[in-house]
Amino acid sequence: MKKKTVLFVLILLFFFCFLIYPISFILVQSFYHNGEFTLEIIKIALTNYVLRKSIINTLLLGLIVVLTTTIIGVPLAFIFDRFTFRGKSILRILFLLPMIASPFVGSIGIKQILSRFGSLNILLIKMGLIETPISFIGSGFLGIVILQTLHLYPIMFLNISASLNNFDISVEEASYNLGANHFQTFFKIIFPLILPGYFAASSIIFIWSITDLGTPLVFEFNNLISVKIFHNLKDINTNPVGYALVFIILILTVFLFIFTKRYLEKTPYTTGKTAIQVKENILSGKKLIFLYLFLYFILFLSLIPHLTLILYSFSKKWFFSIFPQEYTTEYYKVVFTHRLTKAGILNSLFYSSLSTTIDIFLGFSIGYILSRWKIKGKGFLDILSMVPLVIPGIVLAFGYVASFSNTILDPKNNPIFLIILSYSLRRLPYLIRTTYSSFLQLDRSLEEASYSLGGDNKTTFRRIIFPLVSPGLFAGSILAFAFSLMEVSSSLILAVRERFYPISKVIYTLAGRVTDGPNTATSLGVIGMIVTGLCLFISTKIISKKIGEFFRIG
Amino acid sequence: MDREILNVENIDKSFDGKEVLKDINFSVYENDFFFILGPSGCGKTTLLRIIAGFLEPDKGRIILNKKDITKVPPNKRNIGFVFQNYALWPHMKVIDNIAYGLKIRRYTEDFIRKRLEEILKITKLEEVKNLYPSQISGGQQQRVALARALIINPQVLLLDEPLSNLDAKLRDDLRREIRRIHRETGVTMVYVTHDQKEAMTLAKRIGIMGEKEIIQIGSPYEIYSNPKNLFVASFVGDINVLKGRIIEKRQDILKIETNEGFFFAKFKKQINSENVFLCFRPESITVSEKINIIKGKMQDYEFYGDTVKINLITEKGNLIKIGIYTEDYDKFRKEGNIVFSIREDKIIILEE
Repeated sequence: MKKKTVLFVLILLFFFCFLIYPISFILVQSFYHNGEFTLEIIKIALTNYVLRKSIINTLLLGLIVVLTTTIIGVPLAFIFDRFTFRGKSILRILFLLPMIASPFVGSIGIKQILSRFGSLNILLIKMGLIETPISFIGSGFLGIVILQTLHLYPIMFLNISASLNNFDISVEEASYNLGANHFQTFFKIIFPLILPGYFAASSIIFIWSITDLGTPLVFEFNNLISVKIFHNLKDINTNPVGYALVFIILILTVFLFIFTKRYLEKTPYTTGKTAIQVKENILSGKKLIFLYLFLYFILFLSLIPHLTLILYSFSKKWFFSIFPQEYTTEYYKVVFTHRLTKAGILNSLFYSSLSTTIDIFLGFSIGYILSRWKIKGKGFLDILSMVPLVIPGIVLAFGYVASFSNTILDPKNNPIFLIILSYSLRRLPYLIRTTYSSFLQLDRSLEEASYSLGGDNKTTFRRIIFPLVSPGLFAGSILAFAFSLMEVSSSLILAVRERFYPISKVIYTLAGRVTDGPNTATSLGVIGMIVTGLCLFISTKIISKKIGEFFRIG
Repeated sequence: MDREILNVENIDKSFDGKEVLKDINFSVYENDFFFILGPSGCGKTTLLRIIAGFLEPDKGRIILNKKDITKVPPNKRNIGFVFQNYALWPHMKVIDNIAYGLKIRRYTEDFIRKRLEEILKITKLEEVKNLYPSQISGGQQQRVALARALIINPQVLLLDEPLSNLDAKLRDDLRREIRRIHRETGVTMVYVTHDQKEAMTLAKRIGIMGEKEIIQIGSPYEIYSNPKNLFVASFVGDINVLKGRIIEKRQDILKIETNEGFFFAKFKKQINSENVFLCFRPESITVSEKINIIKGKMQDYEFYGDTVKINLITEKGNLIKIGIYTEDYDKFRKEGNIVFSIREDKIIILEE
């Protein structure tokens, strides 16, 4: 019992120091200026012309991306749910691919296509369609929308697919049977049933979109809250505006998260399943061609950033032409020899391994405590462990910089500890949830059978519990590792000195250099993409369909 | 006979080249309670879904009230359907689930309210009408599914294994409920099940389905006492089977040789082959007489109170099951053996 209490208290302490404290610090700083309580800072944030514009832009961005991902993701989910066609299972995986590269890396590729003298303009000029190049990217806003859409629509796809999967086809048939037509059935039955899933997906997409830092930075679009926060870091101690902006984004995400969760709890729509033979929707002829055209078009669009990235990484010269003029593999060698990239790779591997180790340990312990222990304050731990879901990376990182400045942990001196912590905290809820649900599914009697046959606590744990829970944990930790490896916002914010740069920051830095920097950056990006893809693939193999749960609320 | 209301004619259906239904034919009469009874996977649900219009047959026609509806979409058929999993809409209250069909048909609110009252009363759902499907019991969900299909006054009500998701006790209760509802509403029902007890106790007529095909149609009594083949015979109730050969035929008396000796059977139907199965139900026996005697050792028994079923093994090694009144038990015992005679009028002869 005493050991238990110690572990429990230590875990609570951990959350307090590295989650509650930094967040509270931000809250306090947003309302206290020069030791006095004031609403002045919030007022400035809301009334200052530039800041207000950033806030409006941010909200607009989130809403537009929700809309665009809806347009792509929802039809896609319906197609995959309703029709049988060749190559369906491979296509399903291909449509998830866009998730593996962060939009931030992809945006380097897209810039090459859409810029004033990029491939698309050159193509249009050569075809004689235009005479002077068009500014596709413009201020950069459109670029961000495109990149985020192509990156985030799989979340919509996954969630709507899951919703459609949740109810049996007979629910629809019952409606037809009672005289309703397709239109009535859609609006009275199908739509209300997928609404919760749609809502959940929309709020995740909205939150991801408005807290994305990397993409707007690459497109140099400054009038967004996330970028403003990033630039305010430099004078964090003198200018309180950063706090106010962080506060606003925090309020937005927390509110949206709680609202979504409440809504989902109220509407747990599932029905029993039957193994009936559904009307054969094997398409043929014109319809099939139409379907393939649509699917491959979307797929092509969503893979453009990745394909360009790969092309870029192999290019030696790529100016004023549709495709690179010369190719080389040189930059892949550079990646492993260049001082900055070499350090970046090693740093990221180090940070990610450690943060994943922490995640495994904490995820398992907390999952176990929540499902098996009877201890006071368990409910509190339950809430605490889900808080990181609500806290955007940019907010947490800002909180770290703010609250640990001028302490031993000051990221300006040595950010290793805080980077690792921020990585692990962000992914912790997923691991807790995986183990927690594994424990819940683990029938108590399996353990009791072991006890009745003479197994003690230790043996039972080692021989029964751990082997049964570990697949989920393993899959979860691979994913956590992959995400940490390419994590953007904390990496950009916390790593200040070059020798601590993780991969993302190296890519960002190199992409900004004029000479051959972008080539090296893209090569590194491609390598990262491959590693992430592999990790995703492995964990999908292990936990198969449940992969969607990592991208859902609820 | 009553008026024919539904005709299923020459229905064929395959999935991915695999034949599921083959030349299905039957008619359902007004006020009928028609059962399709068959083992799981024999295609009976597919058949029901074709009648409802969720599937199209490869061949054949569905006639409803003398009108060919084979190509009519399900929402224009006015055929009720009770799904195996109920298919209640989780986002609607019980009352909205039930009223759905009427609202779609744009009846006046007054009419809908009246009709709802009626149906809620028949199905005894008044108390739960404002709850959601997830808040009511399995039996109640079942009744909501029934009510929802009944309210549109369907020409025919199709029920797809409606009781299979309930536990045994509830199933018995609801079986009675369904019979009562059939009586009170007079709606024509076509009911699919694999549970022979359900079919035998409820049906007016039963169609026994083997793999892909309907083998025999008749009243429960006809099917039980005069099965067309071994499959039907053993699907409805217990039956004993002895291999035999017809060696003599005098008027309607057959003399059959088996490895248990000779048996005499009164059997009116035409028998074409010589080699046959001699079958009898456990209860088709009497205290031993001069002929048709079987003797065996008791292996075990199932005691039901008023009756007892005894499993015997004969000297020749045949396993026989008989059912007798408990009070008659002593009459069948002779020197440590069980001895009885098969009633000659109850022997069923089936061709090989």
